[in-house]
Amino acid sequence: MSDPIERAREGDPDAFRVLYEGHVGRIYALCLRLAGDPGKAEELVQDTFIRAWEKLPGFRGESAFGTWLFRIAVNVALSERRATGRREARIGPVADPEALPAAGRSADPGVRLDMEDAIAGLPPKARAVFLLYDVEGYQHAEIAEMTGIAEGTSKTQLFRARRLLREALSR
Amino acid sequence: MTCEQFDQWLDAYLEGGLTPTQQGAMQAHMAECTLCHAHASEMQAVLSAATALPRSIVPPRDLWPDIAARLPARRGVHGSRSVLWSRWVPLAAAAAVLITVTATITYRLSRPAAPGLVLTATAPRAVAGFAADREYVLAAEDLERVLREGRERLAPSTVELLERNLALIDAAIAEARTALEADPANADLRALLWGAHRQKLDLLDRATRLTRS
Repeated sequence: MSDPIERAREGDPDAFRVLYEGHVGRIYALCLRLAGDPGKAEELVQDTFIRAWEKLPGFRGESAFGTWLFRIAVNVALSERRATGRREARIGPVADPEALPAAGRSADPGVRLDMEDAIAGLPPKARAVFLLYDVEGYQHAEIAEMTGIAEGTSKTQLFRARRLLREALSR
Repeated sequence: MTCEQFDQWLDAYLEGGLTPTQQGAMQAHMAECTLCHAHASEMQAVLSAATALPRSIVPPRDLWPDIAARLPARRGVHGSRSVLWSRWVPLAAAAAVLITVTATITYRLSRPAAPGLVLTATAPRAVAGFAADREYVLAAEDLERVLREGRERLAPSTVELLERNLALIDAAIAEARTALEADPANADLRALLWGAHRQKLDLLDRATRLTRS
């Protein structure tokens, strides 16, 4: 049995480590942008993989493993956000903008404010939908399933996020 | 077309989701409204910047040791390894509590090995700054204590074999630690060290089960 998903599902931590190494970069990038803080992002990544390990026996391969893992990461991040009682209006810029990669900064001379900072300044739900739709390429139906919001709400949040970003980046 | 309607259709326009007639109306509006034309250009820049963002970012440190230490065991699967993990995880958790007390750490890491099953002098030392290394050491110490208590129930040849193999693994641990101290950011060395620790815990776990059989 060589498939690491199968072996991890059977309880093999070494196989699960293979899955971790293959996906941690994308999960960390998502968590970093959702949390806006490197320390919090690390916690979210850890919680995501622990949750994935716990839920792996129920993974039936109906979606790609990466998509399944993404869904867990989004849920972990949004649950954490709800648990800490933060509200959209209180979200500020990232605690450590230098932790975000230089490659993520826009090269467009018309975009004066850093794209990562602008994303970090979005309200959490709008930020999550923008990241999933415009950065990760998921469809509204998938986002609705991942986040537990209605498909129409996902569209509304994307509309809002894009305009907030346009406003922030064109100042 | 009003500017408000233009804005409502803008996203679909940029994603190619409008009919040819609607696209024509959008283009006609942009030709006569400089503000909406500018808004469309700015929105296109936002979408391009989003597409250009890296979708993968390497974490600043290896998160796996912390994750591995928290993985709950799966009951009744994966043979002896699951037994190892079900035994090790609570031990590591207990060790994690212990290492919060500096005096306790100092005592545990510096105390001489009890007589009985011999362990090499390299084993109790941990790499400075790596909490997982200390946790592995403490977990191994707990298993070693159990093993020493049941040592008389093992055949001399088994004890000899165990000691020989533990010495080999301890040598590998010591070597990996020395290399890691010289190059703390090296993920391959960390993986080697954790692998050697797991081998040791696996061997100790098997041996302690032999003392009970």
